[in-house]
Amino acid sequence: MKEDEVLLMEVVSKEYRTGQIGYGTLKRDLQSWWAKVRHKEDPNGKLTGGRYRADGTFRALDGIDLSVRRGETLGIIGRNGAGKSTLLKLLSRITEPTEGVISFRGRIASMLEVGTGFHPELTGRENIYLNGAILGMKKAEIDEKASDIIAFSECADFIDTPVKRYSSGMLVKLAFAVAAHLDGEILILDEVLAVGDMAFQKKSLEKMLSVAREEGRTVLCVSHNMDTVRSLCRRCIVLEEGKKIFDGGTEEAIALYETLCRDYRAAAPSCKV
Amino acid sequence: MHKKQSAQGAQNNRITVIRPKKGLSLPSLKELAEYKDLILLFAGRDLSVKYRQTVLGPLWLVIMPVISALVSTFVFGGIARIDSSGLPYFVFYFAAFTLWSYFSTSLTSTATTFTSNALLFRRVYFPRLAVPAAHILSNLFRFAVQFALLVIVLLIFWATGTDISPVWGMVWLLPLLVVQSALLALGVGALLSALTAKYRDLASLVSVGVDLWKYLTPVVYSASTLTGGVRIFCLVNPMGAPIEAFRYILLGAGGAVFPEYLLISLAETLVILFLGALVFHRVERNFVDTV
Repeated sequence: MKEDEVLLMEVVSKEYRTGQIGYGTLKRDLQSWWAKVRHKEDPNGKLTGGRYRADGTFRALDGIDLSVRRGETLGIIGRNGAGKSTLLKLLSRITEPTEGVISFRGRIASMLEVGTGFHPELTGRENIYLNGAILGMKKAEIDEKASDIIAFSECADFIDTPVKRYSSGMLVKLAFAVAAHLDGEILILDEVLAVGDMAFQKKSLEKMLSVAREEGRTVLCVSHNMDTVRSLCRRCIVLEEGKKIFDGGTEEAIALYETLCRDYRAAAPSCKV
Repeated sequence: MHKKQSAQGAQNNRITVIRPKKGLSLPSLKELAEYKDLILLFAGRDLSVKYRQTVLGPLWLVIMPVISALVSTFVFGGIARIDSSGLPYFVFYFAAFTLWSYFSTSLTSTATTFTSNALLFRRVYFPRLAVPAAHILSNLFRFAVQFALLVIVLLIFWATGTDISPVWGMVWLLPLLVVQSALLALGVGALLSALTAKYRDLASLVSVGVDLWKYLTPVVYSASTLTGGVRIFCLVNPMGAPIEAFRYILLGAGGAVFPEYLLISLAETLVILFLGALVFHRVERNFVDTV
């Protein structure tokens, strides 16, 4: 890793099995083992070629190379199923890559889905601590930031009420507030800026901009909202069928993405209304 | 992964490398220790959530073992007339049940770690072992309350003339027996949770299995009253010798300390813990893909 790099992915791939996972896997394991014992070719071995393999595995990500420097704001765009979420899952260590190496400096703070781990019976304040700790903060760090988080969430009046009595808007605002105050060197956002009403969305976007521009942290952002991508990201990659097909300026990336979507619409049988 | 950061948010430069792992490995205890705050919060949540919106609240901690002891006294002491070495059956059972209940509640709550936290595990990373560790901890608090209750019960019986003479010279063994029960529950729980992640049927077997295990363990009877193969079977069970010793040390009767079986059970505990950790770590790495 070079000095100014914070994240480096080298030929990273992720395979999933298609169909009913968990059925017949023992049989498959035994088959592979028996073939190995006889020095025969593994019938479930990896084949080369397209995204779907003969043995029923599916390449969600295929040979991704990516290098991100400190302080960059990188947008990740692509159509549904292109592999964006899989990429973020690998980075936030929820699952392991099948092949390749990912290295990063410091902490990755992931805002994959806000409100994860909220417990309905606990109060807002208790949930701030629980959620913060789940996302990797220490108690002392949360102590330091609790008042900022409460202020940002706009839920101060209800902070000692169990969150099961919150409106859904309050819940997402509180959750976003916790995540926005995470301390990682690399922040991952997956469609989380579309939370709350318009005023709150604007506030969230501004918060993320200040995180990137003023605090010099690295932000990786997945969104289908091109306005968000435009205002937040200076560099973008475009994913298509598990492969990285573009890496460069935001405007060009968005243009490419829009072409992809148009081609897809033109190719797909239209439905008459 | 988390270095202490200064208030200015100094850059943390530690490099983490993620690569597909081959074969078996153990979970990192160092990483688990870094998530100590999370473990404490999980444990606190377990305790506080359970008794919210209940009338009696934490009083349930005291009521449950008393009910269990009363029922067992009626069935095993009154009807089946199991030999309780001259002690009132209530005391005889209560002493063993206190440790057994710590073991069994810890085991059942850790056995479904993956299936009951699937939603959470699918979204955020933290060492998954934090969840069972928190269960062991919150149950340790419950155990402490029930142990205090046990001491009160013993004092009451002693004051009313029952011959209860704790073996003071061996009292130091008690905390070790508690720790061993915790480790065994963690080991078996980790194994079961890894297996239930793949084979859901096991989850329904766990509660039946724990009940069965209780009757193979000298809780409602004492191994000292058994002979031959049954006795050996009962003591080779990793919870057998600890329960027997726990009761004997507290009451001065109704059991015995079998040093050789205690060592065997300790060895079994460590082997199970090691296997549990291996399998648990194997499953936690890619569990979200198959759940």
